[in-house]
Amino acid sequence: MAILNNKITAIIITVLFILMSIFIIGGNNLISLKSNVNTQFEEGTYASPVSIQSQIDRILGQANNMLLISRRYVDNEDEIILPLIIAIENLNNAENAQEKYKYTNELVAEIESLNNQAHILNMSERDINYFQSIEVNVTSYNRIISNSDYNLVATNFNNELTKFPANIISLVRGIKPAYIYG
Amino acid sequence: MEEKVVKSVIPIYAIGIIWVIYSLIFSMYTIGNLITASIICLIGYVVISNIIPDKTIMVEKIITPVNTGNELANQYINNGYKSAKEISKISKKLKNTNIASQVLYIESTLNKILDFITKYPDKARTLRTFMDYYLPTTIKLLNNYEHLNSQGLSGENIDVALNKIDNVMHVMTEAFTKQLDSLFEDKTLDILAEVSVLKDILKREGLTSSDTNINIKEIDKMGDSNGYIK
Repeated sequence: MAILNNKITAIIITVLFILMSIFIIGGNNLISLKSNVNTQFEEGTYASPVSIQSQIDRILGQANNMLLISRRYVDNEDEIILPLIIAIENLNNAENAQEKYKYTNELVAEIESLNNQAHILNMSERDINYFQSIEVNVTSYNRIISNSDYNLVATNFNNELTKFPANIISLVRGIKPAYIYG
Repeated sequence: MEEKVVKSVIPIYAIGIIWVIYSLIFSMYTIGNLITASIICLIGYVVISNIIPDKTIMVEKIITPVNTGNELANQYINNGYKSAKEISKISKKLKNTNIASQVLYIESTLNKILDFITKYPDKARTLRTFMDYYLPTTIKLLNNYEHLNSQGLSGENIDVALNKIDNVMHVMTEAFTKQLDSLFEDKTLDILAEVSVLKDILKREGLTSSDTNINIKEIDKMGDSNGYIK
């Protein structure tokens, strides 16, 4: 106990307390902030209920329906539906917002492309109408995504990370900036 | 040994505790919160420092070589402080013995003698026997006492030796006191001479009242026919 009464020991312990609280507690605060950014993307929040992930899931659902209908008229690996299959796979494997943005746009483009080629498949009128409704739906989902506050929340977080002392804390704790959907 | 006032370390720890509590409530990744926490900690430190009193502890006197301009005085002072340090070490070991209080007294008196010689190095010559014989012998006896005492035995020879040293330490405390007192002899003479001159001038100028006469008479009583304090 005598060592605790030493002034230098007291200063060292206090400095350690301060550094630990900055890097551990402050770091946890930053991680929590980033988690909020991810929540905004995945689920939306009460203040900003639009979730990009839920709209992407809907687009994927529509793309799968389109694929299912198409397979009634062509083989599984027919070159006319192959780009759609690849686009769906890419989007499913996308790991971050940036990749999801890229592959969502590719998928939307493939949906439009397949819809334009519907006449080649000699599809029934009902299926053609269904294809057209899919394209309309997908466009609508994409428009909803554009109303999301995710990019604003992610940008605010990234700005925070550039300031002192968050820049040092993020460096020590390995906290990376949030990806922008775009 | 000398007294040293030390500040409590509690206010320093308080800074750490306040900081941690603050960081549990507020986000510590912003500069604003860092500054606010620092200000609160500073206020906390000042307040707690004022609440918790400073502690007075006894520490060993740090011996620095003295240069009084008098070689003999320098030698006595430097050796004397070393001896005082040695007595202090022995004193710690003899804390619970019969001679503990005498050892402390001897250490304290020795320090006073050395402080006096530091101020008045010319007086060093009067300490020759004291510094060359009494002091080393006292330390030697104390070391012997400590050695015998540390055996933890009670035998005829050991008990006799311990009693003898115990008795001689009573004599040594007196000797140390007289040695210190003798250093003030000249100072006392100076004071008496000054008082005597002052008294004469006051009488000559007719400035003494009846009250002052009484005081002068009282001063006179302090000195004998030779002007020495009784």
